[in-house]
Amino acid sequence: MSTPPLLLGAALLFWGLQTGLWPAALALGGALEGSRLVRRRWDLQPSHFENLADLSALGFAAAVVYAYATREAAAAVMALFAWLPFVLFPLAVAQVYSGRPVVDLAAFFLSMRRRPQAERARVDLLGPYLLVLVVSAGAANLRTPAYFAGVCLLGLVALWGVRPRGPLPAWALRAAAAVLLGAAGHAGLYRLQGLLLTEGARLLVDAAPPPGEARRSRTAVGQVGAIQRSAAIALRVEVPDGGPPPALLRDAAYDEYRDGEWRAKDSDFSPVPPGTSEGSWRLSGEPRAARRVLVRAAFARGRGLVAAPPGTAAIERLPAAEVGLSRFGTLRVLEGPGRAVYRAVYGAPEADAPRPSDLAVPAAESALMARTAARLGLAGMSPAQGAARLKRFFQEEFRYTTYLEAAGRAPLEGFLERTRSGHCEYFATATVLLLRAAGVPARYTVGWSVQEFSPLERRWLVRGRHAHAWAAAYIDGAWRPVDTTPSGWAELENAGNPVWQPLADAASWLREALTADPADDGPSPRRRVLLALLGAGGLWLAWRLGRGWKAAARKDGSSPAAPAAVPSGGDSEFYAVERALAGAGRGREACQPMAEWLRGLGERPDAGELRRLLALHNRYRFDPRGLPGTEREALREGAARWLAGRGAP
Amino acid sequence: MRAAPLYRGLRLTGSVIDWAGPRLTGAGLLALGGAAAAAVLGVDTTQSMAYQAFTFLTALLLLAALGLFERQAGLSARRLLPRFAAAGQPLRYAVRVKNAGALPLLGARVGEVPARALPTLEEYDAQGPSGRSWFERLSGYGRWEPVRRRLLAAWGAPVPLPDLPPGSEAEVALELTPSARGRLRFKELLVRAPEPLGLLWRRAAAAPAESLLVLPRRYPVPRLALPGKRRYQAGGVALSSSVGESEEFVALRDYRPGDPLRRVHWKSWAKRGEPVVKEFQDEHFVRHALALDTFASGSDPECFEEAVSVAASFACTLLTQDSLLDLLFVADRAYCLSAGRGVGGVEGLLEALACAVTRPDSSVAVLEDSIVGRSAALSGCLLVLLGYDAPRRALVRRLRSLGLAPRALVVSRTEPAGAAADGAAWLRPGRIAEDLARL
Repeated sequence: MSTPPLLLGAALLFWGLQTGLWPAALALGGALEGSRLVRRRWDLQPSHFENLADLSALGFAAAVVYAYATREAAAAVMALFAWLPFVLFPLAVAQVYSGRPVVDLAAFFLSMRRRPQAERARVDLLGPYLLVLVVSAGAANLRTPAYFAGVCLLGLVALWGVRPRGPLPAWALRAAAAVLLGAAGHAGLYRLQGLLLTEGARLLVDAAPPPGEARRSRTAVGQVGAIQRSAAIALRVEVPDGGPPPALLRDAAYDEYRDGEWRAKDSDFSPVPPGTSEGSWRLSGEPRAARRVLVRAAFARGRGLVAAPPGTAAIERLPAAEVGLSRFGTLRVLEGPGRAVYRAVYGAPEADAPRPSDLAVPAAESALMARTAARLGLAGMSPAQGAARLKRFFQEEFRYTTYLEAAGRAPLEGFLERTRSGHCEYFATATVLLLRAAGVPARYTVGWSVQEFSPLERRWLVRGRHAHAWAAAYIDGAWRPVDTTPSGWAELENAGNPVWQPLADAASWLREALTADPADDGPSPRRRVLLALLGAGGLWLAWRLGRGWKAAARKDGSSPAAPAAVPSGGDSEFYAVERALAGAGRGREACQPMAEWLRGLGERPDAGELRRLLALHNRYRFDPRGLPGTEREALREGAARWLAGRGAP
Repeated sequence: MRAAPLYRGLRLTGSVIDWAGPRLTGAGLLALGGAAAAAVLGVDTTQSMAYQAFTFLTALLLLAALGLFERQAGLSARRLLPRFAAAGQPLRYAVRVKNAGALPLLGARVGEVPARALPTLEEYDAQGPSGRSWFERLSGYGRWEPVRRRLLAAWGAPVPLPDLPPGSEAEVALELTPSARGRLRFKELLVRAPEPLGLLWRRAAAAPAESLLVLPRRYPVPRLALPGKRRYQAGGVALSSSVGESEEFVALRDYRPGDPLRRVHWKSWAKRGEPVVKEFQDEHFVRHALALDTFASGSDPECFEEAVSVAASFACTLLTQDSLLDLLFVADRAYCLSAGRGVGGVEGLLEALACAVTRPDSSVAVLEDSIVGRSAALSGCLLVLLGYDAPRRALVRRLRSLGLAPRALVVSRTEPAGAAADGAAWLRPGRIAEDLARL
């Protein structure tokens, strides 16, 4: 082994302690370091290493599947890094027990396998394996000083092994400086990231960020429109009893409008008492005509707003440390799963009494709202009639346009009296303020519209494009959704889908199919089938790769007379004769037979001797029975004699 | 199609590798790779601790880089090159490193910096689409790599130096194998020593640029019995390697301008009334011509190189102690170089062949005139041709009609029509030795 004694074993133990896999680390370390005590070696050829690399690649692919099936994306990536030493272990142990100092890089690159042996690069795997151990240990993310201490210790021991001869103080000084610089550096990096995060920038962004999560207390007009630019699937909705899905899923509601921004006043979350079964949360009494809907959603780092239909009475199958409920019916989960399939039981009327803020019209918009409400004659109508009138008004006299960033935050006056076009947030804002102007309590609500059914998944898909805003009005003693956005808006939004969207959807479905369903007691049938197919494919590939591979064990100093050993003849002394002639300008061409080459040398005094040596060489090289001892000696001595006499070229 | 964007990317990558590669030790390369991997994994410092490994490894590399600026006084190096090298033959030469400073030189190594390691765009284009996999073909690496390998193939790896205490000197051998004839340029000889951490190689000493003439590659050739009698050679006695009055008197002949007066046979002059001189055996010896065809279009450089190698191979074999050999070829003009009998050695011929280039703008007629002009003094002629078209066929027949019994060797990829009938041998590029052995 090219590494100092016990260094790899110590690195494996370090990795095991960091990741919690220390029993496995002990076993792997024992296997690697044990090669110093075991004299037996395997006679492995480059093709064996190629097969092992293929097997490792297979193992890595299986690890990818398993990681993504059991974790959310970010955790899956870290888990894969942490498992890398397992994946690469077969190659490391093969190098160690083959006694080879280097391994063909062609084992790792398919294109290199087509090259001739002489053109292939070779590498000692043990150094990179040491690095993999050190870096992978970091993936465990144990926030203790032990990691840095371990990295420094292992790194300096490794460097000591390759230290150039020279004054020790120079090396020691630099090593100490590197430790100090490294410590200062990583503390600085950590602080820098914290600084960037607190300024609002995120280094890692989800494809469809949970709407409202960052806006639970306020939302600017235009934020829903920004989300609508994404076609990524944010939610998947199923109706267990096969009925129609809820038209709307609410994320959050707001009551105070100012300067183009909606805010939720007094919107503290109160903890929801857990229900009788694990993962269930009771919000109110179960309605008589309760309906149920299954929602599949992702929660970044286990927290976010829970999308649920208005009138949700209970949430089930949502394991979390805490679920909070605001007075607006906004649900928030803390320390929940990365992916959840929860059930919302809804149908209960939301009867919490309106507050003065639900009737407030900002002074800046009051004249406009009063004018418009008067024109529509809302004052004399009942709340229900007023809501219906507004629906008709916006449907007949307005037009939906998709979100345009350049449009910015156009004033409501422009929307109501000039352009008469906009996206859902304008319709919702105007509806809320007009209802309030007519004396009907109203709130601004954001969430999702459930419109698209997928024949492939047999579910309703809710994309970023389906993010929606609508008004909620207090009508007949309960809060009811009033959606005045002209119908057909979803088709307009979907027109912006890229041509490869069906492929992206299929990939998303595949990923979903492989993901563990935390709601099920066991794997879903589809996931079982897919995993079984993958497993069977993997086993077949492993059998294909391993077929025909047998490790030939050999002991050091084995006897040439060992019956199982076929002499390769590579050590024939005739090659030295060939090299000597080549040095004199009489070399053999590539692929030219030896006999032809000798004939081409022409008549010379030693031609007979060379032919005799060639005959012995050919038998030594190719005869399965090898060369008997006397003739082997004759070849050796004859070649030595010729080299000593050095026949004329 | 000129794939300039791919070429530029590959050239940039190659430049970075050429700059960084010689400066990084194995441990340094590992540290760099480890820092990169740790940077990727540790990009979010809240999700993993790998960023700490990144800072430690980067600190090591930065401190090692500071060591690159250290200089050790009193170190010098120089090459001891032979006069010539031969294409395809390993060249071993000594390098002497002297440490006149006060500090020892430990763990150093010495190696040549390749004169040119990056293919030009023309060479890249000329390689044509190639590659062993779709990735190599798509990325252009399949074109780039063979040319780069050819450029670097000649240069050997650096060799370790023994430890040099202050005031000592060491000599090591470097080996390289020139792949082509011509002038081989040595860009720089560098002595590198590891900096204290052992991650980088720092520059310790250097030897300046030099050049070396690489003679053409030679093949083993059979002894060709070139027909030809001894012919009178003007100035032949002066050309002979004999000294004193050991020449053998053969006959009397008429005086020719330039004959020395001491050769005058006075008695015969008195009888005939015209100057008569004594003719000696050494004025008659064998003189062969070895003519190299340089009239190629340049589209198949390998053919021409093989032809030069064939000519060089025969130049070494045809010269015997009592014969002359005239090497004839056309460069900017018709050249004739003679060797043998003390006139010149085979090295001169090989030097000339080392620098031979093609003349696509000229024709065989120039060579024909050169040979015919000397035909009276020639005993035989060996032609190394690049084809067997009508002009070349006409050349062979004309020389035959002059009684020279020329022997033609045609180096070409396809079998030349009519060559066998005229007794010309076909030599295939890449299988020259094989075909020569069959002569």
